This record gives sequence, C-alpha cells and structure tokens, in this order.
Amino acid sequence: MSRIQRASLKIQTLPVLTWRHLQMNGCELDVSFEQAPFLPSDALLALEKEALLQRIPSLSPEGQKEEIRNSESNDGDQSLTSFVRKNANAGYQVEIAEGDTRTTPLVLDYLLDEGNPTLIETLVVDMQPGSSATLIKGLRTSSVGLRSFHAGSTRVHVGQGANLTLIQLRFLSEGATDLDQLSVTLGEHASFSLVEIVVGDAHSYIGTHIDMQGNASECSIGCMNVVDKEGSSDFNFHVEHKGEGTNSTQLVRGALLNSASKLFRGTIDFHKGCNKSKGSEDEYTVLLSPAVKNRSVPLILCAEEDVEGEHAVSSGRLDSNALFYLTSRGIGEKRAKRLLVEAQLYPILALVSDKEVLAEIEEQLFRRLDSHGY
Amino acid sequence: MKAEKTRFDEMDLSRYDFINEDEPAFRVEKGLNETVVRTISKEKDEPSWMLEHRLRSLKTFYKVPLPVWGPNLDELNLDEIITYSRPDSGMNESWESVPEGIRDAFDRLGIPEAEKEFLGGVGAQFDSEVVYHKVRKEVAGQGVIYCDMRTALREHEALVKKHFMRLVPPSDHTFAALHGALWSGGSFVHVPKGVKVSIPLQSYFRLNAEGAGQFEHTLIILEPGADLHFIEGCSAPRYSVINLHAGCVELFVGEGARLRYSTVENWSKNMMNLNTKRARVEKNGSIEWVSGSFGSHISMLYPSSLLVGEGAHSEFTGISFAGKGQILDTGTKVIHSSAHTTSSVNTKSIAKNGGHCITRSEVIITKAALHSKATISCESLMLDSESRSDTIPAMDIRSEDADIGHEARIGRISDKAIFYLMSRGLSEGEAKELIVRGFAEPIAKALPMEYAVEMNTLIKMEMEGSIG
Amino acid sequence: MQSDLLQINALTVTLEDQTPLLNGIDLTVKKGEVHVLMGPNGAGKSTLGNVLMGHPDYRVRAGSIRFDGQDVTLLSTEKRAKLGMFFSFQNPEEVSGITLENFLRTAKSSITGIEENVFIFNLKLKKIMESLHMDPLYAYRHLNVGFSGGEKKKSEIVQLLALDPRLAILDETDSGLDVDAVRIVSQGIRQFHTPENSLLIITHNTKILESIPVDRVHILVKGSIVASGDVSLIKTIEEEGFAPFVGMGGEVDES
Repeated sequence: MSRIQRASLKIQTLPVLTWRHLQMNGCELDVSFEQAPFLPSDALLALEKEALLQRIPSLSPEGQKEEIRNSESNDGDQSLTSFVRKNANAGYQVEIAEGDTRTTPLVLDYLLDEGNPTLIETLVVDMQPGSSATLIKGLRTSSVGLRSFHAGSTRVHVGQGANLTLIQLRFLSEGATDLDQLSVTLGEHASFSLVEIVVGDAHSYIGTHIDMQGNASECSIGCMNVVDKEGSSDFNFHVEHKGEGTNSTQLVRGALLNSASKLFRGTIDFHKGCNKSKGSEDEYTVLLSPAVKNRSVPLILCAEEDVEGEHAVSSGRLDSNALFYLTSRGIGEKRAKRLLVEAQLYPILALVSDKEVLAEIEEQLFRRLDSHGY
Repeated sequence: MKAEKTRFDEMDLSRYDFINEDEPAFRVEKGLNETVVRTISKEKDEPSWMLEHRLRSLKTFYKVPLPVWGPNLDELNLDEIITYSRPDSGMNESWESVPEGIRDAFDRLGIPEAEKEFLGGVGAQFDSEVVYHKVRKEVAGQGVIYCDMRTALREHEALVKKHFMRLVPPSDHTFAALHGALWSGGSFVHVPKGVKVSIPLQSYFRLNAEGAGQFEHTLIILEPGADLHFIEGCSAPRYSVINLHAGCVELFVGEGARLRYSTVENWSKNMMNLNTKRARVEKNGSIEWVSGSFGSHISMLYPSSLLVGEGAHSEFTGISFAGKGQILDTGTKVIHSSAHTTSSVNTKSIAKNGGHCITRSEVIITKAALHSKATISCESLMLDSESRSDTIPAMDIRSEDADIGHEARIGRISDKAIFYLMSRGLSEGEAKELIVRGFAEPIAKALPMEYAVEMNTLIKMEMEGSIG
Repeated sequence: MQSDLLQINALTVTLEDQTPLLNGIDLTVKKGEVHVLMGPNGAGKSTLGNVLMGHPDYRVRAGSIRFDGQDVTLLSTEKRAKLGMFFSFQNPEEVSGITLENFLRTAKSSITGIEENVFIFNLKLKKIMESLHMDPLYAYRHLNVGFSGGEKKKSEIVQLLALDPRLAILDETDSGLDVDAVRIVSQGIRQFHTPENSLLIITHNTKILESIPVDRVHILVKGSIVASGDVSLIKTIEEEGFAPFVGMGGEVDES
C-alpha cells in the first residue's frame, strides 16, 4: 500500500534577485509523490555496467567520503538536497582511484515505471587526483502519461589534475516531475564537463552549481533542451570562479514545440581574486510554435578586475537567409527548418562520443520533430 | 495532486501590483500623515482631485513593501525627509555646510556664482528666470506649452488630470506611492500635432525652491507627429540635506511622434536616487533615452518603455560610473506589446574604487508582439578589484517570430591599449582616462555639446576620485 | 513558345515597405541560351536573381515570371527548385551542423522525389569535385563553414552540377576569384551548358565571359533594363564602362 507524501520545496534560486513580477527569482514548488521502498528494487535499475558503482547502503553522511561531505556546504540549494537526504530510496557512490584513467564510460540508468514511479536518489562521485572518467546517467520513463516523480542530488568532487565528463540524459514523458541538483567542486587543474540532454515533455527543474576553487580548473556545460507538448525546463546554472586562471563555458541550445516553456538561469560569478579567469555563456533557443514561452536570465557577477566575461543569448526564428539557401536547393520548407534546428543542436551532440547514446538521443529528437511535421 | 505556486502565467501589462497585507515597511515617528499632505496641497492651492490623489497615495505607501532585490535602503531616513518636505520647513543651510569636494567641483565645472548656491542646496531660487522665460516665449510661438507643474495644474488642468500618474501609478512601488503623496515641482510640456520643437528644452532652466527637486514630477505629452528633445538634470553635482530623490517622469509619445529624453544625473554622494521614468509609445512613435549616471550614493533607475502601438520604437543609451561608496543599480525595461515593434539597448558601466555597478534589464515580448525585434548590449568595465559589476538581464518571450539578441561583456581596460597610449607620451592615469572617455563616447555623442563637454570633465574628476 | 525556358514579363518589384527595386523587367531566355545581365553596382541585378528564386523579402507588385510555360510568380522557393531553377549565391551562407554531402543528397532526393543511394551519390559527388579541382574532403565539412571565398564559389558550382537543374542563375560567380579559380568555374559552367540547359549570368566583370558563348546581353540600371543586344555589347562596356547607360534607368533606390 503506497502513501502519498507531500513536500514544499524552494529551488532554483538566483544568486542575485531581479524584479519580482518577472517570477524568475526562484521556484516554490509543492510536490506530492507516492512513497517508495527505501532500497531500490531491481526494476529501478535497468542497467549497471560497472562494478565500480557501489550502492549506498545507508545514505547517512558517514557512508560518504570526507571530502564530499565538506563540499555539502557549497550546495547552492539546501532545500532540495535535504529533501533528498530525508526521502531517498536509491543511491550510488563511485570513487575513481588516483591516476586511474578509464576510457569506458560508467553507466547508471534509472527507469521510472508503473511499479516504481518514484525515484529519490543520490549520487556521489569522487575523482581522486589525476584520475579520469566518463559517467553516463540516464533517466527514462517507461510509458507516456505515467505520473512519476524524480528528485536527485549529485555531489561531485574532482581532485587535482583529474577530469570527469558527466552526461545526463533525460527522456521523460508527460506526467513526470523531475528535480535535480548537481554540486561540483574542482581542485587545481581539475576539469569537469557536463552534457545535459533533455528531450521530452516533462517538467524538469535542473540546478547545477560548480565551485571552481582550484587554480587553473575548468568546466564546461553543454545543454541540449528540446521540450514538447506542455512540458517545461527550468535550468539554474551557477558557476563560481574562485581560483586563479579558471575557465568556464556554458553552451545551451534548444527548441520549443507545441506549448512548451523554458527558463534558463545562467550565472557566471567571478569572485575577488580569480585573476585571469574567463567565463562565457551562449544560449540559443528556436521557437517552433506560437504558444511557447521562452525566458532567460543570464547573469554575470564580477568582483575581480582581471577577468573576461561574456554572454550571448538569442531567441526566435531560424535564420531566414539560411532557410532561403536551403529551400533554393529544393528542400521543402519544413524539412529545411528541421535541418537548421538540427544544425543548432549539433554543437551539443558533438560532445557525446558514445555511439549508442548518440543514437538514442537522435531517435528521441527525430521522433518529436517528425511528429510535428518537420 | 501537485500544485505549483509559480506558473508561467500570461504577462499582464498593467500588472505592477505589489500590494499585500503584511506589516507596513515604515513606522513614521514624526508622522507622515494626512495633515502633512493636506498642508502641502493647501499651500499649493491645488484642485480637490489632486488632494485626493495625494491622500490615496499615502494610504498605498503604507501597504506597499520595499523591494526584495537591489541595494539595501536602510540608510533612508524617512522622518527627516518628511520633516523637510513640509512647506514650512527651513531647508536652507549655509554655504559652509556644503561638502568641500562639491564646492571644488563647481569651480572645476565653471558653474556661475548664481547657480552655485542653488546647486549647493543653499539658495532658495536659481535665477535662470531670464533664460527660462526666453525659451518659453520662443516655443510658445510654435504652440508648445512649457511651464512648471504648478502652473500646468492651474492653467491646463484637464490635460494634467488625464495623464497624471497614469503611466506610473502610486501602486507601482513604494517610492511611486511616496511620490504621489509628496510630489512638488517639475516640468510640464505639451507639443501639438506635427510640431517639431526648435530647441531642446531643459528642466534645468526653471528650477526653483519647490521641494528643491526631491519629488519632482515631469509630464511630457507629444501629440501625433510631434518632435522634442528634453534634457533633465545637469552635470554639476547637486547637494541636498534631504537625501532622497523620488521623482517621476511620465512621457506620452503619440502616433508617429519622436521624443529624445536625455539625462545627466550627478546628485551628490549622500543621495539616494530612486527616480521612476516611463514612456508610453503609440503607433510608429519613438522614444530615445540617453542617460548618464554619475552621482548618488545609491541609485535605482530603470527608464522603461511601453511599446503599445504597432511599429513603435525604443532606444536606450546609457552609462553609469560608480566610484567610492556608490551603488548604482541602473538599467532599463522594454515591453513589446504590439506587432512590428523594435527596441535597442546599449548600456555601459564603469566601476572604480569600490564602487558597485549593477546593470539590470528586462525585455518582454508578449504574444501580440509579432515580428518584433529587440537587441540588447551591455558592456562593463572594471577598473580595479575593489569594485563590483553585476549584469542582470532578463528576457521573457511569448511570440514565436520575435527576434531577440542579447550580449554582454565584462572586463578591464586592456593592458595593450594602456601601453600603446603611454608609448605616445601619456601617463598611465591619462591613458586610462582617455580610454574611459572613449568607452563613454556613444552617450557623449547623443548629448548637446555643452553637456558632452561637462560629461568629459565629470569623467576626469571621477577618475581622479576628487568629487566629494 | 515551347523553346522559351524563362519568361519575365513587365516584372515590378519592391520591398515590403514599397521601396522600388525593379521596374517593368522584360526578359526571355530560350532553351540552350546564355544570357548575361550587367550593370553598375546597386542596379538591382542580385535582386532580380533573388526574386526569380522567390526570396521572401521581396514583393512582386506587377508582372509575371514563367518557367517552361508555367507561371511561377507566386510559387514557393523549393517548388521552383524542383521545377529546375538553380540560383548560385554571391555570398553563400555558412550553415554549420550539416555537411555539404548530406545537404546535397537531401536536396537531390527532394527534387527527384527518389531517395538517393548514399554510396552512389557520394561517388558521383566525388567525381564532380575532382573535375573542378576541389578537394573531395570538403564534402564532409559543414556547408561552407570556414571555406574561403573561392571555395564557396566552387561549392556553388559543385551544387549546380550535382543537382542538374535546367536554368542556372549565377550571381557574381566570378567575383573574388583568382585566375585559376575563374578558369575552373568557367569549365563547370561549360559542362552544365547543353542545348536543353540555359544560363543567366549576373556579373559586372567581363572576365568570365571570355570562354562562354553568349547569346544575349542585358544592361540593368536603377532597376530597369536600359539596353539589350548581342555579345558586342560586352565590348562596348569594356571600352566605355557603364557611363553611356547611366541616367537611363527608372526611379529606383540605388542602395
């Protein structure tokens, strides 16, 4: 017998607030979900390719590594994290040993289905100095219209000279509510790449906080966001430059179909002392329907003189000259638009080297574009 | 059943309502009460509807909370402000009480003796009467009405009543409500159909003791096809013992009309500048904001354009320079609510010596604003690591075929540029000053020459950190 | 009449805001013919090319365009391409995310209505590129991205030969090319030219015409055709420039 649980959450808060009427300062959500068993049943975990991924038997702080625990304080959003801690029913931790460079990606896949519509999970990744790995985390729903709930809290520490690529896939259909908070700390010369792929019709709230403490550390976020039907995506990327000579890039490309909506909050935050640091943000969303809502709040906060920060945000139709070029070669207008949409998303797809994953992303993407006649 | 408290609702143009039932923001000891307001109105000999407007605004003032965003306004001493706003208060101090830095600035800027006292908050009246009357007469010949608000209320009551605080209602925010209750002085301009006003009008000409500009209200109405350039403020630092400026500017741009509204603001460093400026642009009309912000301790300034008619256009060019102890939170808002509207925003900011510049903007494209285009460009210059510069732009787009482009950049003066200028004989300080002036050039270009010259002098003084 | 491939009648074109661009253009190109359109900068030559292809920024206010007997004046761009019209752009767009090969194969499939076999198409494309002295690896680069001016122009000719249209409208195909590139592009044009295929070459420079048999020359000034004649008109322009013809055009904006 499952009970319905409720919670009030305050998430996606902007580091610096803007006018209240814009309703972009943050999100106050009342959520309800079916209580799920504590340990994950096998059905929750569709695939576990790598023995390195250890289940977290208990999710108390003792079960986690010291460094990771210290990075808790860097969390941009206490509320979601404490909610996950209290209610988690699944969790994994992985440590990549010093100097261990693995080329085969670790894969962690979750499937939300009728038997397990609720997933509240935590993931802890500890990259020891000099290590390198790729982790692909997938979140999928088994059927359209299934009322499902996901809340996740991921902590990553990338040690000195280490390198982590995290690919997060979300293929969620209508009826799914998806809340996610990722917190990353980077040591000296550490690098972190996040590839965030969202293709679906669900309501997603994705928060990412990257703390570049180490000198010469780097991070890049590549996000592809294609939302359909009445779905919505709410991103809150906060990149803090603290160390000297740190570099960050945020690249967001998306398309909105039907009555979908999107809110992109991206912050480049230069702290005093982060000399010679560079941060950039580039967001472009194509609107493919008159009923869409597209919002952006790209922030640059700066307390250090010797830095370079820039951002570019654009929205709207596809380039009419490019469209004319394609149609002049006999390509139908809708097909030409589709080619241009794909071209826009291409820079993000290019970040995914795993052929299987790429094929799945393309299948999800093409299916949706096809369904709208593109 | 889950319910989200915040949903992506349809933007309602008139939705600026902040009123809630919580505790009021201020408890006023010395009493901003009905009596004070009635006295003000009586002294000005106003029609009853204006008195009622003041009283309603007063009620609203107690209900509207302070904003949750932006600089901290704890330093605001409302009691003192209220006291000094009373018509019977003796505001005039002595020349000695004017900070030395300000007195020096007057000299540097070559301000004539007669003006100095007024600008220093010491003189009761600035004798620009001669100039003012001359200008009045010249434009009257074109059918233009140009006078102060008090006269306008007396001689053009219907026009004023039709427009007064319709664009910026008292419910808008705390200081709009305060303004509604205490407003005093200001300019009124009405340009008839098709008239191109031959000379720029300046608010500076007809300043007088009324409220010393603290709660000035500027109301400009352009009939279809009219054309006007209006200049507000002046480059010289303005000192006042009342540390709040809560003025209001309402601009009505009729069909096919064109208005350029330039401001060079340099309130002294004890001031809080919370001015509200808004323009409503009809079909094919255009508004051009040119704004230079140099003064104030704290500024919150966001000239806004409501593009309500098809083909309406808005342009904003602004620069703000925050030095020691200053927090300049400035920007602009543009709301496209009609088809084929266009807007462009170009802001520049400079932060130095611990100054804090915040560039805040908002561009809204409603569903009805088909085929609209908006471009926004923000550039911020940091001159040291004591200062802060934040860019907070927001875009809300509800129309599929709107074309929006936004870009922002933040950084420092390039070492290469400094080296290049120094290799040509300039000192480092001179090189930096020249580069900063170049940075401010687009604004200087849009101002009348005397202002441009004064602005360059201002920059020079700011770079030296010499203004009080 | 059957031999007329392109028939432009009294064509008058403006921008959406009524700015006049072309004024009463009459021009007929028969099958197998090579016509040249010349004129000073700003005359409207590129505009005519774009209008023939149906560029959405322009409005036809009067007159008509017929292609192989069919009225295409209001037909969509891709339909015109499918009928066999091809326009080579003066400044080809760079479109990243799509390779030249993929783009062309998609276009070809769309025009013929038959899905092109990838393998066979790639071989065909390789042959065309080699005949034009263009590195076949360019087929796998993103469409025109990072191509030099000359490479972009060659890319346009590659497309011409790959898509095999009936009328090729070439806009300043030779501008910005060095001597060798001009020679190669001319060769491509000659390859295309058959008794069934026609060319309308827009240029203000006569170099490229040296190796191509020209049937008719038209001079466009300020949106109107002020003179039409045979190949000897080219000589006149080489010797005297456009000066004798300027001042003969209509009331059209030169910008």
